[in-house]
Amino acid sequence: MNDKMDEQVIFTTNTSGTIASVHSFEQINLRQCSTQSRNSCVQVGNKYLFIAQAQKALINVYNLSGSFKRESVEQRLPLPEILKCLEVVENNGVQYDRIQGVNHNLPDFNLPYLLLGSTESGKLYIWELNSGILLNVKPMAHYQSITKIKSILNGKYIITSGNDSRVIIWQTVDLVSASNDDPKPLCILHDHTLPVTDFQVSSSQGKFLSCTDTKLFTVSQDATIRCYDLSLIGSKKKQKANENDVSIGKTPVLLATFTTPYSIKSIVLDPADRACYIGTAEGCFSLNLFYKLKGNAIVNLLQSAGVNTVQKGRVFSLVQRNSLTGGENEDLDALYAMGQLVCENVLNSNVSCLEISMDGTLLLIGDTEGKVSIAEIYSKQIIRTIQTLTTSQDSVGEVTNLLTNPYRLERGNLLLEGESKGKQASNNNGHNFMKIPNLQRVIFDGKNKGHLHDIWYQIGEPEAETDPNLALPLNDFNAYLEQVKTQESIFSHIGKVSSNVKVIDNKIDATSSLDSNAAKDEEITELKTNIEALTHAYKELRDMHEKLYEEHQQMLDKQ
Amino acid sequence: MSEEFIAASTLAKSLEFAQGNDFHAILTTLRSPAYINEQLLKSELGFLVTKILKLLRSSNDFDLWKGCHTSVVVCAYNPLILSSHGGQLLAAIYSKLEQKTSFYSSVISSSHGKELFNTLVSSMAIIIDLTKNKPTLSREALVPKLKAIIPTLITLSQYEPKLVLPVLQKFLKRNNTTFKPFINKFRTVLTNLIISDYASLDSKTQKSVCENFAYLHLLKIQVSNTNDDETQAHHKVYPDANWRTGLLSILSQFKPIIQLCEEILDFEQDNELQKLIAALPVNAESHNETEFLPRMKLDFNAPLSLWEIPQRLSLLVDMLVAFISLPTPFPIRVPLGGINSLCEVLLGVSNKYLPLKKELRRDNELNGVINNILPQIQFQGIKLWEIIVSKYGKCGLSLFEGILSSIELFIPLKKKSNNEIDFNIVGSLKSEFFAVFRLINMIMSHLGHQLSTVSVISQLIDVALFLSRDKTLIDSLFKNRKSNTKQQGKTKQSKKTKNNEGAFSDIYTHPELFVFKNSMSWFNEINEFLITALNNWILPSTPHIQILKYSITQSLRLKEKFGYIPETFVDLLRCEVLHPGNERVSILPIAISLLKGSNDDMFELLCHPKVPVGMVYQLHKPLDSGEEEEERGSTSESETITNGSYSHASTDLKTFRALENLENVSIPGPERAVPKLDDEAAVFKKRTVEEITGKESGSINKKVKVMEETIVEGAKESTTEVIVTQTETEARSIEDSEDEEDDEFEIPAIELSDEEGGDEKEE
Repeated sequence: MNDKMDEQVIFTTNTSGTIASVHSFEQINLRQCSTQSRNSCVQVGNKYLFIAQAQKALINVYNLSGSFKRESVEQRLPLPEILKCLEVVENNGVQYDRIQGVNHNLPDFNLPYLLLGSTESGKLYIWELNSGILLNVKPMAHYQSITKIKSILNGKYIITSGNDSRVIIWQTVDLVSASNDDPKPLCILHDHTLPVTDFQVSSSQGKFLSCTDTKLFTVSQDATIRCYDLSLIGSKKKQKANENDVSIGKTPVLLATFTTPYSIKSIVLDPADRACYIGTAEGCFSLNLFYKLKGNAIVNLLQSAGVNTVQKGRVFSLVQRNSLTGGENEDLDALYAMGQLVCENVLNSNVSCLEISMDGTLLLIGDTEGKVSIAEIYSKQIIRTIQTLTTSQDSVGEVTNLLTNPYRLERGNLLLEGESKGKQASNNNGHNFMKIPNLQRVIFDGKNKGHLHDIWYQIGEPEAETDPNLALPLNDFNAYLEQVKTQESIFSHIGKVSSNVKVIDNKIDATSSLDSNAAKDEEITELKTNIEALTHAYKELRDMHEKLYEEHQQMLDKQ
Repeated sequence: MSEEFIAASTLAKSLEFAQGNDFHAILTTLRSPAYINEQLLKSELGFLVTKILKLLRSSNDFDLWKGCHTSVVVCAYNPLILSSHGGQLLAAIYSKLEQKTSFYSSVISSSHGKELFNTLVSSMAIIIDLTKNKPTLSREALVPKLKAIIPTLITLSQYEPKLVLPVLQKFLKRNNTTFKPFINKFRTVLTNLIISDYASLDSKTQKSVCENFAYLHLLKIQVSNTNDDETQAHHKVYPDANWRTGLLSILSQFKPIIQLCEEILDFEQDNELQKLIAALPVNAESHNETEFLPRMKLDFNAPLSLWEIPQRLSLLVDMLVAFISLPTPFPIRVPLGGINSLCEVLLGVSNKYLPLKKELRRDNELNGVINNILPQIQFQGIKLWEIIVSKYGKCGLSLFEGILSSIELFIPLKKKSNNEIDFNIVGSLKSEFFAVFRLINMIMSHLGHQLSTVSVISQLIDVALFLSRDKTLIDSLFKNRKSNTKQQGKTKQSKKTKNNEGAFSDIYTHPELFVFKNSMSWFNEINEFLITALNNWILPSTPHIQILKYSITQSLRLKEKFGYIPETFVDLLRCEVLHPGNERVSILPIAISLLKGSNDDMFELLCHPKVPVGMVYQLHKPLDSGEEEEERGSTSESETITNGSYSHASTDLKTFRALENLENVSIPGPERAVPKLDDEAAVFKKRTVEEITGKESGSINKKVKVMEETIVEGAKESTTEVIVTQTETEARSIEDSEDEEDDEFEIPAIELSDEEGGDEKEE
């Protein structure tokens, strides 16, 4: 009905931060925001935005949620070092109480489980946000600066990429486990030869890493895109007799490699993995992963290679369509035969960041001049360009982060949203309600069992009334009526047989407890009950009489 | 209003004598939005309310009961009445409740007295609920009355805790300040309930007793600078200070009890455990108010008195659970680490690795009791962990591996055996193991696939499969009987035996009636666990086959029973098909035969892969060479089915492998791509076929031919061309392949078995 949606675009440049939306012209500037490296900004739930600041050991926390949206910094989290990339591991799924089968509302104080940050030197910090405890620091996680951190499969695994041209997959539990001082990665991919600048994982991921067909795309300055199948069960298995019999493969399978003429800065996937878009200094290109050949033939470029394979996947080189003279289908086939794929040029600009809209039709392209262009992929037309609102003459620098997420417009339906507003208002204005605990600088000693390890935590209100007796008739009138019936059966059973006796009983007890005029009261109640009985009998008689009289009247009428 | 609805006054009049259906009809009618009309308010609705009030004030219990329900329905559906008369109705109900409460014993003596209290309390609670969050209404109608209502309810809660406690809990949470004066009175009532009556309450009421007790600590401690010294003044007082005091005082009461266990088990054998126990939190300052629990009386000479240990622990765990699992208006500090080490200690109280104290080993009865209580003590730890994992999710991630290894302590082992599970004990701990599996499932959903402790998983699989069998109660009886029969043969004629046999006849004639069946919820939990195990690890053959057997037989049994296979079993079957592990035979045909007619999308896809196996395929084009190939394809198809899951993947494998060498040799460039096209277009089929034929002559010949599907490759046809060497392939030119492309490409579906991949490799 009146539910309106829009997509929020959050982007930061070297010296600014902006929140805008794709379909409307609303735009605000985040104050005191400066970023240096890419992926230094992470959205936390629907509420917070964490941005690691340039040249300062500081994370600025901004509040994004609904009516409490502020341009100013909500909280500053001091850090032990300057951080480059940030990522959080959300604590999803706890709102469903599995034991009782009840849903809980999200509480006001709702933080993700982990905050991961990386430094210039490739160090990986892991904080527990609910307590601020520094759970672990992994020095030299990468040998050079980490370029992106991403948690996948509901936070079970974490992928990092680095300037040391490696991509590493970690198991989250290894990184936080108290018994594990020096966590080892699950596997390291070192197919790239130059710094890995960006990677993307399919948006739809299975339940288990072992059996998903989730794809990992990595791009690098060495001008290649590599696509891996994260399904480990199909990969090469190292059989070790001692290893407790249960084992699956270790490394993802490289499915395909795409080479391009330019070094690649960023990549974004279609939400349904139908295409990928890459950003280079020479522009943005799109490649359909279900590649169309002559006629109706279509190639699935990422066809899984199967089990127990040791092959390295196929190699394709990408050619820009514009450079072709003919551009006919015949050529496509011939080129494909030579391992060449034709890709489309969406936009000519020096791309730094890419993002895609939720329907997969709009591409958001952040460039090195600090602009974000929204382009329609099909027509390759720029629909809109968003720029930081600034009066200064200086350049705002390149776009360092680009995030989109859909949101509901609050003003959509005021009448029905009243409840939530009331709720927020009742909680100390919702704002400044509870600070995020400060991030600690000393590694927590998990082995010290005496430590209480306090975490700040709030559990949400259960969604439904757990006690069915107190359920509102509004919610389920039939259930309520059913309850009325059961109760009535008890009453009516008594009522017919001995309702009078019951009243006497009451009075007797009452009088005995009062301990005065007992006899009199008893007499009175007896009389009263007599009267009641008589009036009842009289009523019945009268009813009977009336009925008979009516019948009589009818008889008369008929005659 | 002259619209077509029954006037409220008419309803009001008939309300007086309404009964049964009429009464229900009146309630249903009163819901109509037609009555939400300001013009009606003064006259009609006023009259209705007067009638209701009359009912509420009547001395007839049935009238009162009607009045309660009418007022609830009217207030719920008619905001006008709620805001104008809600207070009045509430007051009327309350005054009746107060009156009845003061004559509690007499009211309750009539058979419907309990129901009456129920109605009064719940309708009051509902009306109060309706006024909630409505500022004026709650300010004017509710809050002033609460001061009177709360003490009445507290009085009543002594007699009817089940009824009243949930209501009081709401007040405690919502109207904190109003409740404040009565906190102490309520605390006395609650502690009384906990100390004397706790065991006789049903678990739901037990839970709400504990929850109320926890909510007593919601009240914020006022900052009192007077008695604190100045240095303390700047310390921030957190809103949860009082809550935390309560929580820690409960937590600290565990330690002395666990230290008592030291009298039973020889803790000195385990230094780690001793350290853990020493590190358990204790309360520095002893709060008299919190240590309200009486001391336990344990006596080794009266072994049954030891039962008090698990009982007390269970009570403490219930209270602790209330503190850590209740929704609170503000964030609270939860000592996850402390609770975790408590759980670890509780799990450690086991005679699995620790010996009993020497002096206790002689007494059989005592040992029996000890063997009985130890798992119960351990189970308290599991209960706590379950709450932690379900409520805190990932926040406990760092503890999960520890939990897994501690759970291993819960699995009973046979004495003096090499890690053999004692299934007799397992059988008696079924409900506890249900909780264990639920806990494991919750944990596993957060962990990855690489664990440091996997031995516990394989043990649990054994336990799961054992417990999922139907359990007969008379097994042991028969065993004993057999030995007895010979002796009894002599005294057969004695009358006494005959009497016994008469009573036992059911056991012999209908032993199936003494079988315990597992519930669906049990199966669901077990299946989820097995699915996780199959997905994450490649299991050794024995458990794998046991799981297969379990899933197939149970599916069949349930199918016979219900006519369909329950969802989790379908999921398990799917998972088994997708993960054949080290098995050579896929259960795909079995699964499909079981699911015949149930139209499962997933299996449909497995049999008729829609996403093409080949790399190039055509849309909308008729198959050129389909007919002849169809005849021949059956052989290869049957293999597909027998070997199931990885089949399409391996098809590709073939093609890839075929090309692998080529690619490795050649330098990347346009030429290199030529064979590739071959691969996709022309050679694709032939190569695969080659593999198949090779196979056929080889090992799989005898594979059961289960289903003959239509998707087919030109198996035999191409066999002739099969021995195409790689050089030949390479020589194949682009035109060649392009020409062939049209007719060569249908839906390529040659599916090869998993093992072929393995064989291939070895070659």
